[in-house]
Amino acid sequence: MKFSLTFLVYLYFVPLFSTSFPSSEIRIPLKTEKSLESVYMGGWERRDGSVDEKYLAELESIFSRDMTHNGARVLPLHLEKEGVLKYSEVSKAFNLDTWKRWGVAHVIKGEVKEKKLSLTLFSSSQASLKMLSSIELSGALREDRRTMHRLADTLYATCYGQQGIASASIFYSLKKREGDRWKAEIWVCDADGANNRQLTYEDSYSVTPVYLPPNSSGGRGRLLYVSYKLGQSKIFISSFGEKKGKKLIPLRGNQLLPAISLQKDKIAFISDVAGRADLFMQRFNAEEGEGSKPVRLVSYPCSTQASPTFSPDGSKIAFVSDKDGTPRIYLIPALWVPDRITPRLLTKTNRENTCPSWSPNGEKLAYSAKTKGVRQIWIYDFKTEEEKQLTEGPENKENPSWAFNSKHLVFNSTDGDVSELYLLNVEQPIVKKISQGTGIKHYPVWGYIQTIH
Amino acid sequence: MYRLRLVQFSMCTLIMMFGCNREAGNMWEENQTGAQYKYRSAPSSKTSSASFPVEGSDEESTFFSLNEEDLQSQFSEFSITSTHDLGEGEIPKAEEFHEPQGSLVSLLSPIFFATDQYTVHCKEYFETVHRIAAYLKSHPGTSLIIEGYCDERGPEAYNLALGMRRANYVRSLLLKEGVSTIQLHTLSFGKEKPFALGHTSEDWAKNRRAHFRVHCKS
Repeated sequence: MKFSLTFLVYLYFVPLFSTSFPSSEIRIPLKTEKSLESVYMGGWERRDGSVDEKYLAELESIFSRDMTHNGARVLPLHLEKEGVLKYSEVSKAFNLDTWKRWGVAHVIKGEVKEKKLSLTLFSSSQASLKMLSSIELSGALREDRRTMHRLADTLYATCYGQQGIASASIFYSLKKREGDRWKAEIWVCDADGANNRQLTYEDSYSVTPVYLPPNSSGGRGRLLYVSYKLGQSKIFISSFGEKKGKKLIPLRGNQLLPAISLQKDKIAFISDVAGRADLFMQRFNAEEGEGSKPVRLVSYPCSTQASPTFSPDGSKIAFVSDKDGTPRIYLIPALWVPDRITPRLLTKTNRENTCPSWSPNGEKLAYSAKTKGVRQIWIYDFKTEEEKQLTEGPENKENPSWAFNSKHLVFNSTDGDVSELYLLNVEQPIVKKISQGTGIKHYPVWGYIQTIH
Repeated sequence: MYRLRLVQFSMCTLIMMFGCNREAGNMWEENQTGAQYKYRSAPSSKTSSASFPVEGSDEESTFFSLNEEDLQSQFSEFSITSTHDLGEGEIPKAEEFHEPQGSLVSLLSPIFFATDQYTVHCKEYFETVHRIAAYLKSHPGTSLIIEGYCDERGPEAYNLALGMRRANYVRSLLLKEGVSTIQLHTLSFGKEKPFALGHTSEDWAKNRRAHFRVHCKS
């Protein structure tokens, strides 16, 4: 093996992947300065016939799309670059000067032999070469697709130092009309909309899922949602694998739009137990479910409250109220006091503002605001106190939900009989439709794929 | 500021001396046995929930409410009323309610709302409410589920709450007429389950409604 003198390669044989994935999440400290560096992904080579050519192309395509969704600037296939990558000598295939001259920061080369995928990552910006240990392909698309998602998140984190969202899952409510009856159940899909499957079988109407992550001791997390199976709308909790949930809050009347604090110690929801649409908060015991008695936080005789969302530290709640006329988003401290708290108005630009979602880093609030007659996704920046429009186009967009990296949003369109899920990277002006199949998909929220095997 | 504090202190002292029921620090507690609320002592506003008083053994349907004497004095018509769950005690289950039939079809005709509104101003609807109330009072074994609906143009999540408000507004009108809370139950589907599936202004108007389902004790 011949090395160029001007070419210093730090060669790592780092087992970034073992044959079985670790059950814990991959967490990388966030950096943003490298987000625009380009990635070239060479065509994956088949060293033998152990994997079908079309199948491998599909996996490669999934991996490439995941990298793009994560925020990587993926370069298109290029003949000359492919020619260079054909060299078996490392010094020729990954020549620092050559790739720097092409302006390529990262190069990913893949090959499959004996149903095992091996990837090599060359970073011209760091002058490093990393070979990932072989990953066994199962041949089952559902499983291998998830493998590609995790692979994309690992490579993205290695290249950019940021968390990807490809291996996350998205929960949503799927509504269908059966005969003369509307039914809705909670479904889950991968972050690219694939691998969708039904989670609840309440044979009723279930909406507004909330993902409850597992505690530090592990587990698969749980799901909160509103179901009408008892006649009135109540909040239910279920573990993955359970097809029916258990009633969470023994409060009379209807309960809607639950939100859980990141600390999993508080739940906020809307209830008409006192004859209005009021905002309630209750202590929440993540292990045992419901906690103490709920406290009515916001109630006005002539207004409707909706859609609470907690700040990441759990000290504040943003919510919707029409107490001053039209629906706008207000802020209150999440205090256990019976005295009336005066909410602070946050959104002032548009008249109709609904469904707020607080980013996990605490910096932003995403919400839907009617803009020139169409509901668009907007962001309120807590530092600058400015409101900024994110989306455009003729379709109404609602129910934004932040991914754990505070960079991606998932939301749904609402137009007539069609409602689809969309993925948005707030650092890039690209909105990607991800939902598949029939039915009205709405109220999407993020979760982790590791939780639902 | 000191003068204000002095006045406040004097008022509090007077209240304590004369044993007024409406103490500023009191909280509402739902009475399990009926439509009324009763007062109980409350912690000071600075206390944490850990020191909140523990309610009675019946955990169902109790919550810590807001002090809202101010609002009640301004909006007496919107007084707080307790609610009961379907299937609770003698109250029928949801599946025992059905669409009105026979003579009840015209009596329990839906109440329609204007866009974004959860109150009605049309005399016809108040007459409808009056007739329904009279019927319910003379038929104490009959109970209603009042379902609130919205049209497809509103935001989804907010409409769930708006439908809740519409249903509870109609319920409050019936309660004002003297109907028992045990006979009235609410539900909101927002824009989730439209009656009219079209997308015209007529369809929207049909979907902004309070719809009744009824249970008649045999």
